[in-house]
Amino acid sequence: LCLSCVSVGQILPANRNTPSPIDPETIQVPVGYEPDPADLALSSIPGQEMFDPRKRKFSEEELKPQPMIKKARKVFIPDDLKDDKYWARRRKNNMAAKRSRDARRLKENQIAIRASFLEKENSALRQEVADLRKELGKCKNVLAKYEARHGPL
Amino acid sequence: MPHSSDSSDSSSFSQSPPPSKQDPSDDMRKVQRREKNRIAAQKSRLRQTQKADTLHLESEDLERQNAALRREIKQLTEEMKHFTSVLSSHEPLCSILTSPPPPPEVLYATHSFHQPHISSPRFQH
Repeated sequence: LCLSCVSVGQILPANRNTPSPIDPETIQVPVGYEPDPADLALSSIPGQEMFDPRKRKFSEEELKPQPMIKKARKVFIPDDLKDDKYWARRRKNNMAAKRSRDARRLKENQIAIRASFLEKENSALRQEVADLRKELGKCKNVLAKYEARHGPL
Repeated sequence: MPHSSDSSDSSSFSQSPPPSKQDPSDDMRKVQRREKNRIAAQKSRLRQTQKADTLHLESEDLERQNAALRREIKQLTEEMKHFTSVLSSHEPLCSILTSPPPPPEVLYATHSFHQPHISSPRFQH
């Protein structure tokens, strides 16, 4: 019984026998991540799919600090000038402001959840790297011992 | 960070029409309260943007680490694949396997350094 009594299928556990070439994006590592349902609710839009931190990645563009819009100075308007048109405009602007605040809040919540998911995933990935290095070390060790006795393969 | 801002000046309000039935001291209190509130609101907004900026930076960093780790895993698993293919192509040629079965003492010596490798929980028997 030699080095190679451990067959290919046994060195890589069955669920890791991925077909080559390996696309790093598809590497799945078990991440036990359970976001707080309250947080999830705050990060999801009711009409749409529930927010999934595993899939939703935020691009550099989205994460850039938001350029602040210059706010117009408040000018006082006397009551007699506050006609229906004025109030219609005010209402429109108030709605827009609310939508803007809500969207911003939602986005920040989503980013926060994604960040904590990434923390968990990264530590799982680190563990995987450590395990792989350890296995490789063992293999190389075995090979070295074999080659010391019997010359190169 | 590009924060072009806005009404940080205190004169954003023109004077309201003169109050009826109100003391000048009430006026002063109102003005003071408004000013305090203005400052508090400004501080709060500043805190909010700083918190968001920090979160965004952290987020970017985590994504970068994540990608680097995945690349490392890819490289390591490819190394393992190479290793196992080397082993399996060696198998038909292996001098230990092809030579006649050696006496038990020699077998024991050959096995000993394989044991930890085989019995590792990672491997499926």
